[in-house]
Amino acid sequence: MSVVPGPAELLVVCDPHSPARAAVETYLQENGSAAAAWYAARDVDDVDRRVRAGGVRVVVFPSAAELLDVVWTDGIALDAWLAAGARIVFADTTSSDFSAACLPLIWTSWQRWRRRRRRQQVVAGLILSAVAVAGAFTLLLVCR
Amino acid sequence: MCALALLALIPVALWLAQTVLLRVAGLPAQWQLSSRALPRGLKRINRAAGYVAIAAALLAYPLLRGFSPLGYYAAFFPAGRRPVELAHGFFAAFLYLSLLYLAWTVSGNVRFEIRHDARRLLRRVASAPLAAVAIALVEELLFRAMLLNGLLASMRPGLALTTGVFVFAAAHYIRGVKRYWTFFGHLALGTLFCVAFYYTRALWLPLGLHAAGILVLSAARPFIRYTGPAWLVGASIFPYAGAVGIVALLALALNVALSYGGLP
Repeated sequence: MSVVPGPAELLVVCDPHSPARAAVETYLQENGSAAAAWYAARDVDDVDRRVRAGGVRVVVFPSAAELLDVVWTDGIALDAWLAAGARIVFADTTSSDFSAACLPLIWTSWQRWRRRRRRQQVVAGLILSAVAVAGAFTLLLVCR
Repeated sequence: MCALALLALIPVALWLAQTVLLRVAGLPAQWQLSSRALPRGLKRINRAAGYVAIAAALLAYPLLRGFSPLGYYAAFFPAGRRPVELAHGFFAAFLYLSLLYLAWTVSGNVRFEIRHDARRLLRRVASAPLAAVAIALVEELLFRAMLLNGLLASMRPGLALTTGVFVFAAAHYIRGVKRYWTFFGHLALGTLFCVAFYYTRALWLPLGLHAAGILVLSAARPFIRYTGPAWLVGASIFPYAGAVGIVALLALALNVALSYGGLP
């Protein structure tokens, strides 16, 4: 049985009304501590801030899918988490095949994809914003 | 100049109130205006002290110039067809912001996302209209009816407008804030409101522009997440601080100038 750190160092990202809550609680009990700071997935920004500030040793997600969800939606900076030495664990036993060693690889691939997407976002944003501003300007000019 | 001096006294009054409250709480005084260290109950008193300081400045200015406060400020709300300017300003700001949010959503720079639970969401959305009107009204009375009108009476229009814009922008940073790069956005925002006041010499138009801006930003905030670069589309409640926002504000200021006879 591994020793789970105290609530200041152990964070859980799980919606309180999620069906996964029971699995997370069971996982915490089985691993030696039910005392953890809980955050809903929508408050993952707060978790990100705490992990980056340092001092957080373990972050528990219900499953690998939940972690990847917050990565895809830019909820966390996974590289900063890895650099801060935070360990990511999953309560769901079906995620046990998902090796934490894959995370840097996934993050690098995701960043590469994001850079490409970012360029498209900027170009599309500039063109459509120009259209929007020109449209609003013209409409108000005609209606004056 | 009297208006500028009274405005400068507001942060002094805020700092004095903050220092007294910090002493009451047994905490050391601090130079920066920030209520973060104060206990909850004292934070409320600190906020109330801010309202009192603003109200005192608003009342003192007309009295010092020999006018009744009610008569002085009522003159900036002319009757007849002039209240239509309020609707015009509201519609113009609403149009620009709606089209920009649409453009940013389509281009993936903004994403629709419900960011709070139902109760908090309802509270935020329900309080948005009243907060928008209250904030816009107080800021317009302070920065346009009091400050800019006073400056226009004592200096050349160009200098008065520049000073009015800078003071308006700087006033948003007297308290500790998270972001300072938004300053240029506040300058562009100040330009719009000052231009609106300069050409109409009334508060209807700047009030409509200002209230619509706050309403759209605060009502949209719980539903959107900025995913594009901040230099392009801004962030949080500051979409006007990105490059596009600044261009849009200046375009709207030009619309106002053209509509109200400022340019040929």
